[in-house]
Amino acid sequence: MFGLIIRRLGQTIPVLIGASILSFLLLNLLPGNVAMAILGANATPSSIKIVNSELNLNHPIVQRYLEWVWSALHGNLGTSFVTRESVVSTVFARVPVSFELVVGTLIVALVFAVPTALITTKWRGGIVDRVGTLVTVVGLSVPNFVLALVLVLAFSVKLHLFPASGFIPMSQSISGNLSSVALPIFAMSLVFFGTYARLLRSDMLQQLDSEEYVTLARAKGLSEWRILIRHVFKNSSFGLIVVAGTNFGQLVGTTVVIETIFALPGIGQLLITSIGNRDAPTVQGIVLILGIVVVFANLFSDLLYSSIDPRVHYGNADS
Amino acid sequence: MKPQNDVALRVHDLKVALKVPGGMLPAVRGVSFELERGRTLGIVGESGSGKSVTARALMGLFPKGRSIMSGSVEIGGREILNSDARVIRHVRGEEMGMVFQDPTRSLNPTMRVGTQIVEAIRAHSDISRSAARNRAVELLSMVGIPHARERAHAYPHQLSGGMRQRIVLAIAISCQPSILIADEPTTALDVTTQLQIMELIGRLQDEYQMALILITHDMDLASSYVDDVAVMYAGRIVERGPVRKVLSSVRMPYTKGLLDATLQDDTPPHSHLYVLPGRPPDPRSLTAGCPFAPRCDRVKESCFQHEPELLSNDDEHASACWFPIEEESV
Repeated sequence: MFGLIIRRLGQTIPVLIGASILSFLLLNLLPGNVAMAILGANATPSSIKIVNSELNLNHPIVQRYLEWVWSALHGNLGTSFVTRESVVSTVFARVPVSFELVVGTLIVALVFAVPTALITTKWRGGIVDRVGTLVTVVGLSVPNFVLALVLVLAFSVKLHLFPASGFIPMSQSISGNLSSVALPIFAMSLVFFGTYARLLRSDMLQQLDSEEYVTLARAKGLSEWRILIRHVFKNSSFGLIVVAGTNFGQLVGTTVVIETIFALPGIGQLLITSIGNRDAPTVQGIVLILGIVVVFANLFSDLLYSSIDPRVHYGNADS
Repeated sequence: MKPQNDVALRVHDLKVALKVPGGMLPAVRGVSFELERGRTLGIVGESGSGKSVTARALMGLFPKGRSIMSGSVEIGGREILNSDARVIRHVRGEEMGMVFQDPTRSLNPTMRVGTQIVEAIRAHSDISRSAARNRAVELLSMVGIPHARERAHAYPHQLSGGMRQRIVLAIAISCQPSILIADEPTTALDVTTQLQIMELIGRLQDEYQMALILITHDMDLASSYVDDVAVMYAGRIVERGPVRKVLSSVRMPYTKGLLDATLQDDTPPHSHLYVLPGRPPDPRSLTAGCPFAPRCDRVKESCFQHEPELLSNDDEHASACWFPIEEESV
């Protein structure tokens, strides 16, 4: 177990180096520069030059990257080019919003996916199965930004049930907070709901049809529901945990689009703004922090998997 | 032991067709037999002969939408074939226990073996969890598992193949069924373990006076453990009778082929073992004649006209063959 943790943390290093180089390069390839973002429309070539030299942007890219790495290694992710505030505090101020979205999406997707998978498996081929399959296919194929706009149109513009945009912190009002994240979470979770429900259904059907332990469970005289839940679902859930873990990066990526659409002050929105401003330190900081979060999420799902599946023991020689 | 007239299982003209990609597969085409408590019937045949399908059909283990079953299966005088799910659940485990070929696959890998036994007990009786646990530990020691109380907490992968098969047996007998079906119970085990498991099955059968159906491809194994034998070919019983009689006066050429293909005590070392030529037919493309005719060394023209019925001259030993082997010619 300990060996696994160390190995995984070791794997993060090349991942983070790769991601930071890539984002640094891409940001440089984009047309436009940070000086224009700071100075606005009335920028003159001479004032741009002054800003560029203040921000050391006239240094070669390799040097700038290495300088960034050097200070990052010292725990200093620098200050934003635009706001002049510390990158770390800017990013962490926005963590709660994105965290709420991601966790909420995971919960909503699983809470709907598990019963859907169970009933479509139990009544496979029947009307319930067909409706369930239709819903999951829709969930998989509707892009979340389209869904988001449809939801806003239906639930905010027409029905006035939820706000169309904006964020109310939990500290201010819990019900206000929940209603401000309801539509974003719903828009985000549909695709994950579809993925999990279909994955779980096909895995459970495969086990029901081909696993001999299911036959023995039937031969014992257990009810089909008990077989489905205690035996088949339990064994299929291990795979689901792994997929949910590896999907975590995708989940974080989705927040970028959704936070922008719903004007939620999360990390995704900060990332978009910073890219627009060519605010390299902020972009680099976000990439680094998200990279670490995703690696830890994968590690967590692996540890969870190994602690509940008795067949898997990392680094133990006894079984 | 004197056979009592206590029929535990009566199967009449059982037919099973399984849905497979591209149509229905007539896996069992009219099987009839009776079995009394305390007696053992061996069902012998090659893979694909329909012996395992027969066993599973008896327990209703084929889903309704994907199989068609007809005929009659009576357990303790009650018809269970195609009856509703509640009746079948009551029969499973409580009236009929089953042991499968590969204990590695038939136990749930992620559930403690004790729990798997407890679950079987509690499916049929309203006893408390702790009482069921005690009963499970009792069963474990009964099937010869040392340190039963601790072993109940083990997962299947922590036990040997023989141990796992003992667990499956413990599950099968947990509700003291009147019938035990053992589908190739020793095929996946090594030779020394095979003997132990067969002895254990025999001991449990005596203890509970169970009717035992032993399904095997191994004539040799059948001859030492069963009272009666039924040889299956292409979904039908082609020869049936008390095992001594069948062995001493084989009538059906297929049975003879199976016997010739097994190692005997007097087989000289390094001699070539007889191999039955050809393969079992595909049940989807059976012709009007005897299904064994294409592989038979005594085949005559007329064998291809009609399929022979299972007939007997005395009431015990029956065979389905147009030209059965006469006793003097053996």
